[in-house]
Amino acid sequence: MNKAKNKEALVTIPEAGLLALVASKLKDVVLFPEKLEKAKEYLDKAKVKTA
Amino acid sequence: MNNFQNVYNTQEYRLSNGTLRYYFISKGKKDIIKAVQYQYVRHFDGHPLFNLGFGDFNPTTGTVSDEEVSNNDDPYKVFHTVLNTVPRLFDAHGNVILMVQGSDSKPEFIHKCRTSCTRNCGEEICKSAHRRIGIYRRFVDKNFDLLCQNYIFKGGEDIENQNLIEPYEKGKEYNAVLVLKKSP
Repeated sequence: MNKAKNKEALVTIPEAGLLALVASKLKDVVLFPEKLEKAKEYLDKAKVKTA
Repeated sequence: MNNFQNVYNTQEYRLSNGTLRYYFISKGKKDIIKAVQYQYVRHFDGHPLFNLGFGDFNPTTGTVSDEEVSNNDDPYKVFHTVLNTVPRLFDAHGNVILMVQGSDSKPEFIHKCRTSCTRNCGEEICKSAHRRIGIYRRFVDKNFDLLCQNYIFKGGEDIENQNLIEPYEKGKEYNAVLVLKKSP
């Protein structure tokens, strides 16, 4: 009988590699979409004070 | 704004739509991946306006949230790292406006905070709100004369349901700070 063995391998990733991995994962993801909408709403109600 | 020495190393990514992103690792009590983003919103007052977004990457969900309070024992180093990226926006896109707002100034934040308030705020105020924009305002207030050598600051305040944008005055409780780079 073959008994499945779960082996977890821990690997060390250099900092630069980790950030590149995250950047790649988020490349097509919209970050802070709510913030963008709030900024648009804010600007729609904005008026520049003239001197 | 890029003269801070004790900062984290950042990695820059430029997206095809002009968005700039920076990633770095906050190394305090634990390692937290942080993301800084400058995203084009729309033209305002004759300039392209970019909004600053800043938050923590959650490796479990694969998302970035600007609502986390990480308390990672390195607030100044993180703040200065974010500030060091500001000049790069102007280097990349030239004559633009940067707008900074706090994620804890939203009505939703105040509403959510009220449901679990531990600071006896009552109905009129929320003591936890507006703290993030306050950090940026205090930095500008403290370094105003030096910063004004290279930048123009404007402040936004809510007056009669309108956001009035005016030349920045130290000490005023603006709900948004706008920054332009002075022409050389």
